[in-house]
Amino acid sequence: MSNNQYLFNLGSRFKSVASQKSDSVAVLFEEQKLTYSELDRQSDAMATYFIQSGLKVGDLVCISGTKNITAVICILGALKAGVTYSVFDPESPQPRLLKIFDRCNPALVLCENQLTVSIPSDKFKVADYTKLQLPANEDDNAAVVSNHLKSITAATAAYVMFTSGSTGFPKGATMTHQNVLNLIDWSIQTYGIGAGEVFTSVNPFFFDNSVFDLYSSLFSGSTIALFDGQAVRDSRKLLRLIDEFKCTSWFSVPSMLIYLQTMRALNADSFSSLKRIIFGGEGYPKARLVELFDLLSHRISFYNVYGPTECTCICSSYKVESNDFADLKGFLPLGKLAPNFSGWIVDEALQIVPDGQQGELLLGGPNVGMGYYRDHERTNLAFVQNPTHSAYRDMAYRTGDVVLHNPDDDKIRIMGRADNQIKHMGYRIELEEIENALSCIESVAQTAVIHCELRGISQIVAFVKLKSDTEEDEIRKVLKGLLPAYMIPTKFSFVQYLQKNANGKLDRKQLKSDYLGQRVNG
Amino acid sequence: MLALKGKVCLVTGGASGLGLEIIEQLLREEAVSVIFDIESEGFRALQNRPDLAVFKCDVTDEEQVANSIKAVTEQFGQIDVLVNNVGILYSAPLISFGGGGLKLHDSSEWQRVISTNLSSAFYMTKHAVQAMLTRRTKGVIVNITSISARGNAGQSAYSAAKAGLEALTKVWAKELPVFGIRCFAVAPGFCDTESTHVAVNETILQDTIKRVPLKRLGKTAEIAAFVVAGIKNDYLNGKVLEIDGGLVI
Repeated sequence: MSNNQYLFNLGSRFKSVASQKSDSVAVLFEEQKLTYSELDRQSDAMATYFIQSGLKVGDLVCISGTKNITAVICILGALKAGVTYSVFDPESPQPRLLKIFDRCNPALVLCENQLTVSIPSDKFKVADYTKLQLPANEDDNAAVVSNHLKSITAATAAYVMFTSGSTGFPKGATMTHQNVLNLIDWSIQTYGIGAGEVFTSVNPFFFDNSVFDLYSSLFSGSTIALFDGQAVRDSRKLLRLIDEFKCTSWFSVPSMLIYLQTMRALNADSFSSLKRIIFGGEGYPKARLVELFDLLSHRISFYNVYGPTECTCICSSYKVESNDFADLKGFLPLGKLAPNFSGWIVDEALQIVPDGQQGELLLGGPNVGMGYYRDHERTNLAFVQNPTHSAYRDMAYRTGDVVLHNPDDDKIRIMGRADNQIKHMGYRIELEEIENALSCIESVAQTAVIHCELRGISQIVAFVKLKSDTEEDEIRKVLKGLLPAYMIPTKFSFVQYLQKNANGKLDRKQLKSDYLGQRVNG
Repeated sequence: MLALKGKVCLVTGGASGLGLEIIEQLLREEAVSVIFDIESEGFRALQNRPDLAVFKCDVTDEEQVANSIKAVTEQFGQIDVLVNNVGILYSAPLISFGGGGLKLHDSSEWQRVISTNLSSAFYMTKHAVQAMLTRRTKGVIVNITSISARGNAGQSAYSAAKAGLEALTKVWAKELPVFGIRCFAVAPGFCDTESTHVAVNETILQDTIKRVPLKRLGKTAEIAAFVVAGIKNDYLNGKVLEIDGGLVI
């Protein structure tokens, strides 16, 4: 694909792909389609707009994550201009969005008209991306971009992806052009991505799983088929469109596939063109996965992927085989680490533990990101020196995932977390952020939030001690103004007191064990 | 015994309280669990759950009921179990003397309680049974009534609605077995739920607890387990099963 060009940034890489695939379809969305040459021209115009608006390499632009072709053009335009982008959830509560904007200090916020009015224009430069006056001369735009691409290095930050933070403040994982170029090459190699591939994009652009869809498709000459939230929720329509678009590659959290199973939407003829189903972001209960595997594995390969947002979202891929279902308890193991990743299992002092002993997984190598955007304190806590040497600066990321390597089968399995971070529907959530939000409610005296799995389905349960009578729906309404929908607890349990452990801290373990006990015995 | 794995079980008012607890216990039995409820924050939260099918339906509106039942049968192919759980608790005497003088039971509240607690079950069962017959499904209808059906002072509308529901239970238990459908009711006593605390004065509630031989309120998990056990029991038909800690003996 590279034709011996030195393609050291994503903009150059995309232009190279677009020149070779100019008439191929790049993006499908509802009734619309865009070829590579059209996408190249339109993203050139967007990049030129950024450059002519005074945005410089390394400046940050926040883009609304509504699923449509314009958002894709904005993202590619930002990459070509060397402007770091951060996609935000347009439905996220305004206080949380403003916290993110305050942290980013964006040079520009691009969103739909209805959102522009709610973002303070005295603090941020806001524009409606559907009404931008983009420079029209295609040759001039191409020349501006071509000249500008030289100033974007592999170390330039490509994007910032915000995830939940324990202090109630989201963290912005920052990835470079090089990190993403590595992901693209790994993806093409690992999955044998060839001609005629069509990737589903069922993940929102503000969710890190979307990184795989977007980059594995548009930077390999494949097609990306966009599905918005409404299409994803309508299981039968989604399956029909996937067949109509002749999608070959699916990537989602297991929850989305489980939903299709729950809705009895899948049968032996479903996903007629798919070659592979890739899932990650949370565990897929084997008891549910086996039903899907038995139905489709004769013509579709299944992969379980793992990786943190801070390391381009995927660092391992495990091909599921029928012998993985010898027992139906628990979840699948992780795959071997991708080339370009190093991994160590360490104790609390960051010392490597003996083989067969569990510890925290530490990831190193060139796919480790730059840390958290404008957040040195939390970057220094999570990004540490490679534990095998101190000869030079060589950063590794503390995943917080407690894992165990089994020397007998040479597989790594996730055993839990070293902190209170959880995965719910694939989203990373710090339970403390939910507790902080609950504590802002006047009628709430005390609260503890736990995460558990019932029949393999993730649930967030909030235990709340009230100061005054308040209905659950009222609490949910207030929370909706403070947290994104996926962070609002699945269940509320109103209690007279909250159990503390011997150290006087809230005893989450006991709460969880009591809650699960009730579910099992009740 | 009826194995619930893969059976399509529909619970009205399933987005909270006892309804949600019944749903959770049906999920434990690996049933396909379907909720009918009106829009609320809790309802919206459940729409994100991958293991549930959630339908927005005001069950007091027959047209909505008919359309939603049709949507369920199109989605899942059948309905095996219907739990008429939706209900609102309303307490008011027929006539009372207060600071403002004579006060009469509000007729619009009467209509609201009868519509939600009784008419909804009639609409739901009518259309669910039609779906069961069309698809030739053997089915179970469960009505959640209350020990108030015996006539609780201060609960004209609620008691009448629940008594009506008990009567329907007996009618359907006689009419429907010929089609392979049985019907029973579960009548919980006072339960430790948000709606009980909102609707019943705390002093009255404490007094009630003293009269319960087990000296406590029921738990929704206990009632739900009883409902599920009844659904599974193929020989249960036409009975109103009271579960109240011995309050009524």
